[in-house]
Amino acid sequence: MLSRSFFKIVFLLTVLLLLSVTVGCEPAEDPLEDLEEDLEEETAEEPAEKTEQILTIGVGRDFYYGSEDRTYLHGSTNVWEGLVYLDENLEPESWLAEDISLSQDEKTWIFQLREGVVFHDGAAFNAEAAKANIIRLRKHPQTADNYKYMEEVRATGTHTLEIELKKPLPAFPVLISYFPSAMFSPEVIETGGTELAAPVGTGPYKFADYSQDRIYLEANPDYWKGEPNIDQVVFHHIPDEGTRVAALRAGEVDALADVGIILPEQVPELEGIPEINLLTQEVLTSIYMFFQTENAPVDNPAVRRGISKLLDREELVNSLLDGYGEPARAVISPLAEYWIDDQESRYDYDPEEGSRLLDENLEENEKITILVNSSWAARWPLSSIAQYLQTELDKLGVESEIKSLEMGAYNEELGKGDFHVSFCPWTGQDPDDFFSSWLLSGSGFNQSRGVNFSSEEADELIQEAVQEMDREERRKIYFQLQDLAEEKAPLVPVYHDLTVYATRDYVKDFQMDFNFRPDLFPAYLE
Amino acid sequence: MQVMLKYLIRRLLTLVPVLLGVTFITFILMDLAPGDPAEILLTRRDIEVTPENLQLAREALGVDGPLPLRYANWLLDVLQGNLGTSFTTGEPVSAEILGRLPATAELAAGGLLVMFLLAFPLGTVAALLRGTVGDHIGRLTALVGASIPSFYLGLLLITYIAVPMEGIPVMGKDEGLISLLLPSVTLGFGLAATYARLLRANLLEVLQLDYIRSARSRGLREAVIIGRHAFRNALIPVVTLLGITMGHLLGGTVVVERIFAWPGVGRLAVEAIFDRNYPVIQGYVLLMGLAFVCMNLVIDLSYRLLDPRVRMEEGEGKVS
Repeated sequence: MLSRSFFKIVFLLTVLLLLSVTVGCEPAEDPLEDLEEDLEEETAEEPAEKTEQILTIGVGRDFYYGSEDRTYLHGSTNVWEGLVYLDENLEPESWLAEDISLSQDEKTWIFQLREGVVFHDGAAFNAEAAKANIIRLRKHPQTADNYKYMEEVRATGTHTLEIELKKPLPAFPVLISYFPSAMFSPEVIETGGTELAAPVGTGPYKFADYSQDRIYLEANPDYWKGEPNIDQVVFHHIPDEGTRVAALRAGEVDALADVGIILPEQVPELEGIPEINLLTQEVLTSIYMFFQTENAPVDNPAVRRGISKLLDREELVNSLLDGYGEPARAVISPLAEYWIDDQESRYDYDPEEGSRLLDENLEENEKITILVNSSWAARWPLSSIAQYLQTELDKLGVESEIKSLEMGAYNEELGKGDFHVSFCPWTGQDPDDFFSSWLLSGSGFNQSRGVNFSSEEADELIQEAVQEMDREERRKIYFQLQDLAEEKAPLVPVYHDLTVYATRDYVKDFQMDFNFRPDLFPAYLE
Repeated sequence: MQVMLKYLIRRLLTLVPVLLGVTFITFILMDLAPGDPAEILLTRRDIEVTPENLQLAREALGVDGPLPLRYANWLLDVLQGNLGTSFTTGEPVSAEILGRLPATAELAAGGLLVMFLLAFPLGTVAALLRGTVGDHIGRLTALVGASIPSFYLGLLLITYIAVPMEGIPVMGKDEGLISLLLPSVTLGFGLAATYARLLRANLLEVLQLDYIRSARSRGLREAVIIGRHAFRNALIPVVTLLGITMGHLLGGTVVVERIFAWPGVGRLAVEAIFDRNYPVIQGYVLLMGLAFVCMNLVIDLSYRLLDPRVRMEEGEGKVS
């Protein structure tokens, strides 16, 4: 027999907890239920033949960015569309702009917009709406750089938009492809500002709600390609990689689709399950090793090249990624094949040459500091690559230390320049994107990642390339830049990412592209 | 009753310095921590980190002024019921935290329930059967429970229970009470180990005391001695620990929330720390400080029910 007092305490604590739980257990408005009710009401008078199709996609990061972001939601949600996208060869492809042409003076890009497109709120997509979006994107800090050469934007016809630049820029359509040309209803654009009141786009799916780590979408019946097959799509943010795979196996999600969503070491767990389709996709993300080019001894390009020669990229990809990656042979993604000068790798494993370069150029007792960002290391095997490098340096008698820091501390260390070598993932498109970001003196990543590389020759070539309208000539300049990047080696590529993703077998026509964007329009459930 | 009311008011008044203290210390710690929120935000949004962009971002986030001024501004906003807006989403902090608090409360309740169900029988039986096989089994179970990391136990439960068995969800909280099962077991199992050991040790200690011996000599039944006299006194340290545990649970259990994709405040707070999302961190610290103080107040009040000496010291009774 327990005492009355004990029961009193248990009762007290239980009441306290129940009070808090009651708040949580209040008939929470389940957005999915609401959607189902709405759809039921809308289709009440139609013959109930069609079975409701709901697709749940597990993702490893939250795709909801909020009103201050350039696009409110990630592009993978298929809620919004841009003027331009890229094809598989990374060439501009029509999206909401049906045709793209250039004026005689090569300074004005003319976008012939697709007719018959409406935003989810019913507003028409036309040149005025596109103009309002371009003005917003030009102001927005995330996209202002893409429009830095823009002189003026004009709506010259109902569906004709002209963007005049200060100087010819052949890569402009590539530069504004995908995120930087996202179109939203003028009704949700803050007057004179950059915020969006809601993510009202033109895509095959409309935003319905966001709660409990999930984005709820419903099919857009007025989509310009026609009504999508799947009625509702849910993007579920599942942070733990083990849980994501378990959820797919248990059928709680129908697909896992995002960059790095399934780790290479998880593949054996899914292989051989007949209900699961395992897929791979080359993506635009590459892993680089970069140097603080002002710190001795890596201020010497020969030392940088020597360290690069110690990396057996083939072995790294096979042992750390189980082959799910491509050993790098150029600084640019292999998807941009046209811009890569030859088929031979510039970044071969050559320990003898590496040893010679380091022997000749390193002083005794010089210590190399390898910095690792632990936040990135959770998605890419950066710590293991750092350990591999440390072992290789150790074999040559070169002392090194690895410092693993979370994002905030890592950024601060980069800012102080208190390191020699580090690793990072980077996603780019046009070769200009790479060279302007990493090799141009004082430019974005060159500066913010603490590389601090400066070369007048590189600056001139980059400026020349960005304005060269002749494609063949431009290509030659990029070949020269690749020579220079190899020789100076302020950063060297390690491998190009190959993402593994998966669906349940009843999910059909579901594919993710090199931007990790699944095309939801043709997808259906069998 | 008046004594009780005075006590309550006095305890509630201590809330003010406690909350001021914890929020100010947090403010200082966040400021001292390496990493600039403006730089993290720019990196996160793929914006080039140039000195101009950094300055603009710092101004927009309100992190460019001196620390005392920023704290004073934050405090003024809080007094007007405004916890600020999240650096990363632009949503009000109060909405972000309160939107996730119910999920955490549910998980805390589930975890405590599992803990009660496991710890009390285990602890009591182990104490009463001291030195026997039952005691060894109970102690071994407690040792395993205390040793097994929750992330591992969670993954085991997911792999061997949720994946093969239909109806038991792997993650999330959509399926109602059944969704709580595995996260609660994961949480409660580790807690139960600690509580069972504590209860066993306390019961053994109390059972050696003179008043228990005299109760036995007077011929009281063993069940009455254990249930009414020994158990009640053995509970006091357990209840003290419970106050701290409940505060921790309401603060969120990051590992369990992550493994079961449970949308609670723990994950929100950890993500905010990595992003140097000061308003969310400050809002979280404020609410958790409040929760800790309130929970401990409830626990202190419960001593009055458990231990008559407390009531007597406060003048409600007379020591004879």
